[in-house]
Amino acid sequence: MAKKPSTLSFRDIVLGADAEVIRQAHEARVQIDLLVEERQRAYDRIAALETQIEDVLGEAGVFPFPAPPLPVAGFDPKADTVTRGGKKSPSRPADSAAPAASEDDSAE
Amino acid sequence: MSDASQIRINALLLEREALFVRIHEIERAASALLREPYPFTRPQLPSDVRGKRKSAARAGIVRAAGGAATKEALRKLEPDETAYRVTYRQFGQTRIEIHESADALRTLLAAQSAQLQVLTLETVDADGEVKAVLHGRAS
Repeated sequence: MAKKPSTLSFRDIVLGADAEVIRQAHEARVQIDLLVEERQRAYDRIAALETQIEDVLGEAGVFPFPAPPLPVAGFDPKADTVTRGGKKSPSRPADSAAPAASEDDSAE
Repeated sequence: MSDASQIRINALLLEREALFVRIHEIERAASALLREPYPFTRPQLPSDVRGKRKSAARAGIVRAAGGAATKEALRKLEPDETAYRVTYRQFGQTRIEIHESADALRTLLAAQSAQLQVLTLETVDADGEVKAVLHGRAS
Protein backbone atom coordinates (compact mmCIF):
# COMPACT_ATOMS: atom_id res chain seq x y z
CA MET A 1 0.00 0.00 0.00
CA ALA A 2 1.23 3.48 -0.73
CA LYS A 3 -0.30 4.89 2.40
CA LYS A 4 0.60 3.69 5.84
CA PRO A 5 -2.25 1.89 7.54
CA SER A 6 -4.14 3.86 10.10
CA THR A 7 -3.60 3.41 13.80
CA LEU A 8 -6.41 0.92 14.19
CA SER A 9 -5.21 -1.99 16.26
CA PHE A 10 -6.14 -5.57 15.66
CA ARG A 11 -8.44 -5.33 18.66
CA ASP A 12 -10.09 -2.21 17.24
CA ILE A 13 -10.80 -4.01 14.00
CA VAL A 14 -12.00 -7.24 15.53
CA LEU A 15 -14.21 -5.70 18.15
CA GLY A 16 -15.06 -2.37 16.52
CA ALA A 17 -16.28 -3.37 13.10
CA ASP A 18 -18.92 -5.56 11.69
CA ALA A 19 -17.59 -8.93 10.54
CA GLU A 20 -18.94 -8.42 7.03
CA VAL A 21 -17.23 -5.03 6.79
CA ILE A 22 -13.97 -6.62 7.95
CA ARG A 23 -14.29 -9.28 5.29
CA GLN A 24 -14.98 -6.74 2.55
CA ALA A 25 -12.19 -4.50 3.77
CA HIS A 26 -9.73 -7.37 3.70
CA GLU A 27 -10.74 -8.28 0.19
CA ALA A 28 -10.41 -4.70 -0.94
CA ARG A 29 -7.04 -4.36 0.71
CA VAL A 30 -5.68 -7.47 -0.98
CA GLN A 31 -6.91 -6.32 -4.39
CA ILE A 32 -5.61 -2.81 -3.91
CA ASP A 33 -2.19 -4.13 -2.94
CA LEU A 34 -2.08 -6.13 -6.16
CA LEU A 35 -3.10 -3.08 -8.17
CA VAL A 36 -0.50 -0.91 -6.48
CA GLU A 37 2.19 -3.47 -7.27
CA GLU A 38 1.12 -3.60 -10.91
CA ARG A 39 1.10 0.18 -11.07
CA GLN A 40 4.64 0.30 -9.70
CA ARG A 41 5.79 -2.23 -12.31
CA ALA A 42 4.18 -0.10 -15.02
CA TYR A 43 6.02 2.98 -13.78
CA ASP A 44 9.29 1.05 -13.69
CA ARG A 45 8.74 0.11 -17.32
CA ILE A 46 7.84 3.68 -18.25
CA ALA A 47 11.06 4.89 -16.66
CA ALA A 48 13.00 2.35 -18.71
CA LEU A 49 11.21 3.41 -21.89
CA GLU A 50 11.90 7.08 -21.30
CA THR A 51 15.56 6.29 -20.70
CA GLN A 52 15.66 4.33 -23.96
CA ILE A 53 14.09 7.24 -25.83
CA GLU A 54 16.64 9.65 -24.44
CA ASP A 55 19.42 7.25 -25.31
CA VAL A 56 18.19 7.09 -28.91
CA LEU A 57 18.10 10.89 -28.99
CA GLY A 58 21.48 11.11 -27.35
CA GLU A 59 20.36 13.85 -25.02
CA ALA A 60 18.42 13.81 -21.80
CA GLY A 61 16.07 16.37 -20.40
CA VAL A 62 14.98 17.94 -23.67
CA PHE A 63 12.47 15.58 -25.26
CA PRO A 64 8.90 16.82 -24.74
CA PHE A 65 7.37 13.63 -23.41
CA PRO A 66 3.63 13.72 -24.01
CA ALA A 67 1.38 13.80 -20.97
CA PRO A 68 -0.60 10.66 -20.20
CA PRO A 69 -3.56 10.24 -22.55
CA LEU A 70 -5.93 9.79 -19.62
CA PRO A 71 -5.95 11.33 -16.13
CA VAL A 72 -3.25 9.84 -13.94
CA ALA A 73 -2.28 10.83 -10.41
CA GLY A 74 0.58 13.28 -10.26
CA PHE A 75 0.24 14.69 -13.78
CA ASP A 76 -1.37 17.92 -14.79
CA PRO A 77 -4.46 16.76 -16.70
CA LYS A 78 -4.43 19.92 -18.82
CA ALA A 79 -0.81 19.71 -19.92
CA ASP A 80 0.13 18.46 -23.37
CA THR A 81 3.58 17.48 -22.26
CA VAL A 82 5.17 16.41 -19.02
CA THR A 83 6.14 19.44 -16.97
CA ARG A 84 9.77 18.93 -16.16
CA GLY A 85 11.36 19.77 -12.88
CA GLY A 86 8.02 20.58 -11.46
CA LYS A 87 6.18 19.27 -8.52
CA LYS A 88 7.31 16.29 -6.58
CA SER A 89 5.36 13.62 -4.84
CA PRO A 90 3.10 13.40 -3.06
CA SER A 91 0.81 14.07 -5.89
CA ARG A 92 -2.84 14.73 -5.87
CA PRO A 93 -5.03 11.78 -5.03
CA ALA A 94 -5.93 9.23 -7.67
CA ASP A 95 -7.52 12.04 -9.59
CA SER A 96 -10.43 14.27 -9.30
CA ALA A 97 -11.93 12.30 -12.12
CA ALA A 98 -11.67 9.18 -10.01
CA PRO A 99 -14.82 7.27 -10.22
CA ALA A 100 -17.42 7.04 -7.64
CA ALA A 101 -17.81 3.52 -6.35
CA SER A 102 -20.84 3.12 -8.50
CA GLU A 103 -18.99 3.66 -11.77
CA ASP A 104 -17.97 0.86 -14.00
CA ASP A 105 -14.57 -0.43 -13.21
CA SER A 106 -12.26 -2.79 -14.94
CA ALA A 107 -10.89 -4.35 -11.79
CA GLU A 108 -14.12 -5.76 -10.73
CA MET B 1 17.37 11.89 -36.92
CA SER B 2 17.28 8.75 -38.99
CA ASP B 3 14.05 7.05 -39.98
CA ALA B 4 15.02 4.04 -37.91
CA SER B 5 15.50 6.19 -34.82
CA GLN B 6 12.18 7.93 -35.39
CA ILE B 7 10.39 4.60 -35.76
CA ARG B 8 12.09 3.29 -32.64
CA ILE B 9 11.08 6.34 -30.62
CA ASN B 10 7.50 6.13 -31.85
CA ALA B 11 7.30 2.50 -30.83
CA LEU B 12 8.66 3.29 -27.38
CA LEU B 13 6.20 6.18 -27.00
CA LEU B 14 3.29 3.97 -27.94
CA GLU B 15 4.28 1.42 -25.33
CA ARG B 16 4.63 4.22 -22.78
CA GLU B 17 1.18 5.52 -23.65
CA ALA B 18 -0.35 2.08 -23.25
CA LEU B 19 1.21 1.77 -19.81
CA PHE B 20 -0.28 5.10 -18.77
CA VAL B 21 -3.67 3.89 -19.89
CA ARG B 22 -3.20 0.83 -17.70
CA ILE B 23 -2.13 3.04 -14.78
CA HIS B 24 -5.26 5.11 -15.27
CA GLU B 25 -7.35 1.94 -15.09
CA ILE B 26 -5.50 0.76 -12.00
CA GLU B 27 -6.02 4.04 -10.20
CA ARG B 28 -9.70 4.04 -11.03
CA ALA B 29 -10.01 0.46 -9.83
CA ALA B 30 -8.21 1.16 -6.55
CA SER B 31 -10.37 4.21 -5.92
CA ALA B 32 -13.47 2.20 -6.65
CA LEU B 33 -12.40 -0.46 -4.17
CA LEU B 34 -11.66 2.17 -1.55
CA ARG B 35 -14.91 3.96 -2.39
CA GLU B 36 -13.04 7.26 -2.44
CA PRO B 37 -9.98 8.63 -4.26
CA TYR B 38 -6.97 6.56 -3.37
CA PRO B 39 -4.02 8.72 -2.20
CA PHE B 40 -1.56 7.69 -4.87
CA THR B 41 1.90 9.17 -5.04
CA ARG B 42 3.72 9.19 -8.32
CA PRO B 43 7.27 7.88 -8.65
CA GLN B 44 9.88 10.11 -10.20
CA LEU B 45 10.47 9.52 -13.91
CA PRO B 46 13.30 10.49 -16.25
CA SER B 47 10.86 12.87 -17.95
CA ASP B 48 10.67 14.84 -14.69
CA VAL B 49 14.32 15.67 -14.84
CA ARG B 50 15.34 18.84 -16.56
CA GLY B 51 18.86 19.07 -17.88
CA LYS B 52 21.19 17.11 -20.00
CA ARG B 53 22.71 13.73 -19.53
CA LYS B 54 24.75 13.23 -22.59
CA SER B 55 25.25 9.89 -24.17
CA ALA B 56 28.66 8.72 -25.12
CA ALA B 57 28.33 9.83 -28.73
CA ARG B 58 26.93 13.24 -27.89
CA ALA B 59 29.34 13.86 -25.08
CA GLY B 60 32.12 13.46 -27.54
CA ILE B 61 33.62 10.24 -26.39
CA VAL B 62 35.53 9.56 -29.50
CA ARG B 63 38.20 7.17 -30.41
CA ALA B 64 41.26 9.03 -31.51
CA ALA B 65 43.51 7.83 -34.28
CA GLY B 66 45.87 6.30 -31.76
CA GLY B 67 43.04 4.21 -30.42
CA ALA B 68 42.74 5.86 -27.03
CA ALA B 69 39.32 7.10 -25.99
CA THR B 70 39.20 10.85 -25.56
CA LYS B 71 36.38 12.41 -23.64
CA GLU B 72 35.59 15.85 -24.92
CA ALA B 73 33.85 18.35 -22.81
CA LEU B 74 31.75 19.72 -25.63
CA ARG B 75 29.40 21.83 -23.64
CA LYS B 76 27.07 24.73 -24.15
CA LEU B 77 28.58 28.15 -24.54
CA GLU B 78 28.69 30.29 -21.44
CA PRO B 79 27.19 33.80 -21.57
CA ASP B 80 30.60 35.37 -22.18
CA GLU B 81 31.45 32.96 -25.00
CA THR B 82 30.27 33.46 -28.55
CA ALA B 83 31.62 30.50 -30.50
CA TYR B 84 33.78 27.41 -30.61
CA ARG B 85 37.11 27.43 -32.38
CA VAL B 86 38.31 24.07 -33.55
CA THR B 87 41.68 23.19 -34.98
CA TYR B 88 41.94 19.90 -36.78
CA ARG B 89 44.24 18.12 -39.15
CA GLN B 90 42.84 16.45 -42.21
CA PHE B 91 44.97 14.67 -44.77
CA GLY B 92 48.04 16.46 -43.48
CA GLN B 93 46.51 19.93 -43.62
CA THR B 94 45.71 21.87 -40.48
CA ARG B 95 42.47 23.80 -40.51
CA ILE B 96 40.94 26.24 -38.07
CA GLU B 97 37.20 26.84 -38.04
CA ILE B 98 34.80 28.87 -35.95
CA HIS B 99 31.40 27.37 -35.14
CA GLU B 100 28.56 28.87 -33.20
CA SER B 101 26.70 25.60 -33.03
CA ALA B 102 27.96 22.47 -31.35
CA ASP B 103 26.25 20.18 -33.84
CA ALA B 104 28.93 20.41 -36.50
CA LEU B 105 31.57 19.84 -33.87
CA ARG B 106 29.89 16.71 -32.64
CA THR B 107 29.98 15.37 -36.16
CA LEU B 108 33.60 16.34 -36.53
CA LEU B 109 34.58 14.74 -33.23
CA ALA B 110 32.74 11.58 -34.06
CA ALA B 111 34.39 11.38 -37.47
CA GLN B 112 37.94 11.30 -36.18
CA SER B 113 40.18 8.76 -37.82
CA ALA B 114 43.74 8.33 -38.98
CA GLN B 115 43.14 11.06 -41.58
CA LEU B 116 41.18 13.41 -39.36
CA GLN B 117 42.27 14.49 -35.93
CA VAL B 118 40.88 17.28 -33.79
CA LEU B 119 43.84 19.04 -32.25
CA THR B 120 42.21 21.70 -30.14
CA LEU B 121 38.75 22.79 -29.25
CA GLU B 122 38.27 26.11 -27.54
CA THR B 123 35.56 28.59 -26.78
CA VAL B 124 36.12 32.20 -27.76
CA ASP B 125 34.47 35.53 -27.08
CA ALA B 126 33.36 38.17 -29.57
CA ASP B 127 36.94 39.39 -29.98
CA GLY B 128 38.24 35.92 -30.71
CA GLU B 129 39.94 35.62 -27.36
CA VAL B 130 40.10 32.14 -25.91
CA LYS B 131 37.76 31.72 -22.98
CA ALA B 132 38.15 28.02 -22.31
CA VAL B 133 40.05 25.08 -23.72
CA LEU B 134 37.77 22.09 -24.06
CA HIS B 135 40.22 19.78 -25.75
CA GLY B 136 43.93 19.80 -26.54
CA ARG B 137 46.34 22.59 -25.78
CA ALA B 138 45.49 26.27 -26.14
CA SER B 139 46.49 27.69 -29.49
